[in-house]
Amino acid sequence: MQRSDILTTAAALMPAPPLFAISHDAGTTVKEPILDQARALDRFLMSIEKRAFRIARIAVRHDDDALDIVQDAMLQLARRYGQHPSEQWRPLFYRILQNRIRDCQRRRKVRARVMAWLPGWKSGEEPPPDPSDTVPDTRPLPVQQLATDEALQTLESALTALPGRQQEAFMLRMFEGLDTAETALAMGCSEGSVKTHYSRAVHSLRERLGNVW
Amino acid sequence: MVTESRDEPGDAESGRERERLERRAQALFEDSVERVDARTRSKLTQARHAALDEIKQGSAHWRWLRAPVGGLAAIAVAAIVVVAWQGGQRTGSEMAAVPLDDFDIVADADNLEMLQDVEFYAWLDDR
Repeated sequence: MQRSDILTTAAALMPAPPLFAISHDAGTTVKEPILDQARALDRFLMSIEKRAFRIARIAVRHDDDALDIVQDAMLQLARRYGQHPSEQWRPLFYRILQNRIRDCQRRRKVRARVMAWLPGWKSGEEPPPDPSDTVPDTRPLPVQQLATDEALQTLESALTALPGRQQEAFMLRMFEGLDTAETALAMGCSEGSVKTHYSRAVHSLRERLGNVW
Repeated sequence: MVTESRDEPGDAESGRERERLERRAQALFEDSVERVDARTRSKLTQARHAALDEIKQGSAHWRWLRAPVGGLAAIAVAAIVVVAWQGGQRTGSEMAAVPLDDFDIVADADNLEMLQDVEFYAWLDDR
């Protein structure tokens, strides 16, 4: 092969300037769906974050643990299912969230069992209260707000007393508004089981709350 | 919110009580969601941003996997050019037969002038 032939061939194989421009454009078109997906995920997470926190908070009864659970669920959703269609995100997110809640509750039980052997350890799942929480709030609370707070505490206590699966079914259906199929996906069980858990949860809550409500 | 009918047996009174409980629970929950404090909202925003970084980094990882395709193609072309160039020049045995003196000529900067007029020196050598 002649030297000039080789150089001609190499030149022909090298991308010409217009091709660079095309490939750059192609790069931006590849990037665009990723940004769209990120924006869609941002909107989705923003729409559910406070509700998810409240659900986790009712289940684990601790603010920081609930925040950790929600953060972990968000990360897992983005990492594993970020590229999935956005319609699937809600049940998937709540499935991850429920799994994290169960993990947290399981860890606490194990820790409580282990710590119970240590001398001087007091049983109880509640962590020590934040000293700032014990400072009396001097602001006057409206009577209606006080009544609402008390009713909420009563509801949370009743929900906490429910078996885990009943609690999940009730919160996902009532608070998050998932339908039976979505709740089944989130809980990893059949729709029939969801109906049973939900029905029992409502029955138990009515018995517990009684005339308060 | 939940709108579909549920397969729960019971009389009308029981149904009404049940609906009342559901509505009350929903209203209390919504109220508590609206009253989530600023510190928690800030933490949730941070968590959301961390999740979004994750999806962006995830796509960046895919770009890393895709990027070498272009680079490898360029390297392959360069390798072909070099191999073809050397093949066109001389074979390995020919390279071995080249006297070491020739390397001195190439390496010595003083001989560059002579190299530029090599045909003249070849003619001179024949004389």
